[in-house]
Amino acid sequence: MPVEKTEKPGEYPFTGGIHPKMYDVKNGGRLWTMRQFAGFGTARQTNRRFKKLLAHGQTGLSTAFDMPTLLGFDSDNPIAEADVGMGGVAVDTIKDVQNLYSGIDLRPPLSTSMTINGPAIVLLAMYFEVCRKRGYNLAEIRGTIQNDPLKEFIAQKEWIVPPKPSIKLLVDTIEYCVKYAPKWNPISISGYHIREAGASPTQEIAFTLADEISYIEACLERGMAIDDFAPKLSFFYDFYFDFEDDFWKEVAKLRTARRLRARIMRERFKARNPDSWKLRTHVQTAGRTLTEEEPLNNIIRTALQAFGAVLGGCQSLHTNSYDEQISLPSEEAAKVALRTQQIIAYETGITKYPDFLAGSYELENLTDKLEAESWKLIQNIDTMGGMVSAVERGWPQAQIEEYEFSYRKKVESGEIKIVGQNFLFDEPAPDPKFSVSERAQDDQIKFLKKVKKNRSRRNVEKSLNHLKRTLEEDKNVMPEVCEAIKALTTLEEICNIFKDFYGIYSEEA
Amino acid sequence: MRILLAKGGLDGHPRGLKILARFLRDAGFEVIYLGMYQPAEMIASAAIQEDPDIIGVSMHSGGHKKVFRKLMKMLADAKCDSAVVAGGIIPRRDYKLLKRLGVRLIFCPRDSMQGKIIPALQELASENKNKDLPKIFSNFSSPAAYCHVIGFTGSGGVGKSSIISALLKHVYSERRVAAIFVDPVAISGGAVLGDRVRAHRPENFKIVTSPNVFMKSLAAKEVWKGVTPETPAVIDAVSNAGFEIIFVETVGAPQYDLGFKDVVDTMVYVITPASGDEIQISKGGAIETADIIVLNKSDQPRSEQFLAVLKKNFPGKPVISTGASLWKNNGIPELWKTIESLKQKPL
Repeated sequence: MPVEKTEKPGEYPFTGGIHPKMYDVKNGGRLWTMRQFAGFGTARQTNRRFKKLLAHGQTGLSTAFDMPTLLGFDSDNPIAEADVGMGGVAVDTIKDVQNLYSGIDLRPPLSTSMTINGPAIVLLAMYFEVCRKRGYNLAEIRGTIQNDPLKEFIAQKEWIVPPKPSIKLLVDTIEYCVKYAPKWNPISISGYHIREAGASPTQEIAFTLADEISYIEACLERGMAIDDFAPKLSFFYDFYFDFEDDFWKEVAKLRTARRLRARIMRERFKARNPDSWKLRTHVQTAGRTLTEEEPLNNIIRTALQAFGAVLGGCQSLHTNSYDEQISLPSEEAAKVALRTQQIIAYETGITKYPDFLAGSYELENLTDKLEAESWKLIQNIDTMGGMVSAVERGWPQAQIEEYEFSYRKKVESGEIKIVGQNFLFDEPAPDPKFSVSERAQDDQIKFLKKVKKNRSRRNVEKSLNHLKRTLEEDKNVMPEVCEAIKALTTLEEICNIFKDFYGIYSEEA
Repeated sequence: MRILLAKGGLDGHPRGLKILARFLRDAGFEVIYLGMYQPAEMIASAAIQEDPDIIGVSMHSGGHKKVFRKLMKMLADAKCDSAVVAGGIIPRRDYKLLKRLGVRLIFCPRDSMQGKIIPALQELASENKNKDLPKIFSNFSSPAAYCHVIGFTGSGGVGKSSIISALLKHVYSERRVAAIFVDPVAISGGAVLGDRVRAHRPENFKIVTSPNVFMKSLAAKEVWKGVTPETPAVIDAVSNAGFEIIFVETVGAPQYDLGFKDVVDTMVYVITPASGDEIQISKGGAIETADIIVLNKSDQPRSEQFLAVLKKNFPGKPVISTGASLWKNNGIPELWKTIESLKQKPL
């Protein structure tokens, strides 16, 4: 439904942004958080990268974990052999988290983000216990944990237990944060992975909001009041473009998501606190648009996408490194990526205008169109019984695959052009400048073995038995997870309790 | 032309591989899709059992050196002569190493799937050997003294392969157990054989790589009694290799399943509460010849009522509720007990 074009940023339904002044610092606005996703090898190696990024002017931390950690396996499990520390940092016990953030003041103004989902409850407990051990007041600590299970089944595929128990564990963390860490965002409802898996902008909006509806229903069922937790549900979107799903549609996408979410919160869930209506989002530039060939071109792609994210009103931004198709970001590439958003923030002057594009005929039209399409899709999911049933049936998965297949055919035929890749190419991809050494992998395994040797096996067993009992009683397990990690119980040992109790999950075809 | 596709190690990033599977199917390939999170040992197990012309491993994680070193050694030890190809992000400087290990072709993201990758794979598949069935089993031991063949039928999407993979897990530590999956083919003659993927979760590492477990995926170029004309020969071969429990899954269209009962010892019909009125339609069809009826996904709405209708319509037939995604009491132990009671292992 079309909106009065006189709507201002900071006013319901927040199409143009959630603050009246947005990034206009001189007039009471706030710049977006510059939060570069980083992590590789051991905790000590990643810690050094964090410190460098902070020294370059980054304003928030964002932690990337390796695949074994994301899937709930320890570094010494033989199946983790090829992947320890490869795509992110390896974490097995609280000792790794201590090393990861060692020498960095985790109190405000700094905020930390952790990209982890299946084992999120374990990492959250580790982070909170590190904060407690340092004597911080948990009630002041700021940060975000991704902790968004449904999009794992829809797109990212890093789950550890089936959908329903995954949501149970999520609700446990939300309940705990509301009580003990009210400034922490216990979830980042993510369209990014959905989009990177090949979804359309409409699907990205609709699936994230349908995911949120399922989470809210689960929290209400637990007995929480909407305005107690809704303000802490945060979002994460992609900024993508190709010739068809273009730059302007992406700006409109961010506006549409804000508008729709505000309506859902106010009208469907009867939230009264305006903070419950506002969609706060992190944005990442689109990794899938980067090319392996002629990697310097990726700097241009990322700069345009970052500019779009700012026009679209993000609260936090990650800009990709130009070498991310060939390796993890090298130090040089990571710095260029951060500088890209700093140039937008401090040189272009775009920050002086909250919602510069408001009133553009084309943009408002695109926004209305996306809104109507997304709303239809959300209603579709409602009639299926909500996102959990839809996911169990494989419906959103199939929708994304169809869209991606049609896109891929257009790339194959040259109808969609990728400069330097399927169009105007004249050089092969270069070799990576950066790689994780096999020595780092060995170091991590040795460290874990040492930690395991020096802990009390009895305390570990005791903590795991408590955890098991709490699962059987169907109570909030967060306190037991905190106890377990303090006994130096490993990530895999805890995740195995979840997997044994709830079962593992394979997708239906 | 038969190709196995996997992401090596604990690599995610399945977007390109999934699309490639579809293009390959449309080009007439039988694609055994293992999907992501496949350590070398799991790829090798599948390759030895499925005997494809080509094994395609895609990697984006940077862990390719470790994965290919181990995979190529395991394949050589098992005398598996499938051609191995690599894709994803493989730095140029590692091409030499991979080639030296025996990797035949390496593709990069720029390569057009239809324009370059598929023609190259077609050429590679055509040069490859003509394999006959018994050779597959040279890695396995002597014939089983006793054999129980259990068939699973029911419409597509009711969860037959999830149940089979749960049963495999339930019995493999004590019994030598095999599964034969039959999937329909597309108009092109190609097929994506995606049943095996259900068992290939990294948590199932021990099961998938156990010498007690054998899985085979067949494409139904011709449907015969719900399976394929060569299925009885495959069952014999599997039994001769010492597997005493053999699960067989039909193509999943009950109207073709008449006669399936002759192929197996025990027949299980799988249905879900969402099947609704289908029960009326299939009355007198395959469901009536079944020895056991399984109501899967029994956590879905209307499950209780549906269970009552089934029990009323098929008196005397065991009806068992299962739910692969249920938190507890997934029904698998009870199903297994019922299956076993129908053909006891001689003492």
